[in-house]
Amino acid sequence: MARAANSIQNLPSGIDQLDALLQHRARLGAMVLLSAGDEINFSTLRALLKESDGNLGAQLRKLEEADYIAVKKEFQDRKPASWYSLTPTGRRALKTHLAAMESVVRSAEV
Amino acid sequence: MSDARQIHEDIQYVREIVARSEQSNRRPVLIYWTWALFVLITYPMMDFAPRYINFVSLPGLIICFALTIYLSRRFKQSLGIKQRRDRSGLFWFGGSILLIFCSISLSIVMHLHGQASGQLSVVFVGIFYFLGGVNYDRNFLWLGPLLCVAGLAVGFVPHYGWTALGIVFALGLIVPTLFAPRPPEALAENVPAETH
Repeated sequence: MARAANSIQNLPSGIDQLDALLQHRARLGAMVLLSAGDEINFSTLRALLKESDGNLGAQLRKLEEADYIAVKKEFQDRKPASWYSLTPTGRRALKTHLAAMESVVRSAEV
Repeated sequence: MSDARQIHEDIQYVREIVARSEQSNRRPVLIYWTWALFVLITYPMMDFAPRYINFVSLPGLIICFALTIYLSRRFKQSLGIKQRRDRSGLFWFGGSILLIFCSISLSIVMHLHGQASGQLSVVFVGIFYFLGGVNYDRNFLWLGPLLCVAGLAVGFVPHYGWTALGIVFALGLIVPTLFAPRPPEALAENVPAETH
């Protein structure tokens, strides 16, 4: 019990603020790219993140279910294209997560 | 501390992605070529057919602007990125309108006609391109000042100064597009259509 309490005290500051959903690299990367206030299509996200279709699709679906991103489907040159953008909830979550990451790194450096 | 190391690695990963997304900012080559063609047609007219310059340059400007709007939309779609607040569009179109307005009004106020008015326009274009270089395309950092100097110097060239200036201007637009880096992995249009 005392050891558990001690280990909690030793946790770097900000670690409890980390968003579990954003601790996956592909999801974090997608959120950062979308945070520029743009809509980005699936093909471009896949090229930038260097992820496979299936993996990226699954990760984006999780972000969509958490209401972190919104998707809009449309046809571009007769081909289907999905355009992703950050929701206000997602933007807030990303901001909190990045601040927590910074805090953890700083506390580890001290 | 494994959490901190993990986060360090995540930050590095994010940094790489952001760098990759910035690398993929290609140039809208066809827009540059459109304006190079406009310059190659209109500038020599100052030497060979100055009477008809207004009849050609005004419709030419309208056509080039319309083409630029169309090509710019196509270019952004090919990048796979839609910008809600199109800062570059506002800069280039707003700046162009302001540039035309300033050139015409200053020419009227300063009673400039013909070649002198053209020189003033080129100096303004040079300043505008330099600002474009600061914000968007580094090649304009040298093309802008070059146009300012050439715009002033062309008045002292006895023969075919405008033709030479048009060629230099057009080359300044075309040559960098021939050597632009094209990172293959970041080009969305080269990636097959989504299948998820």
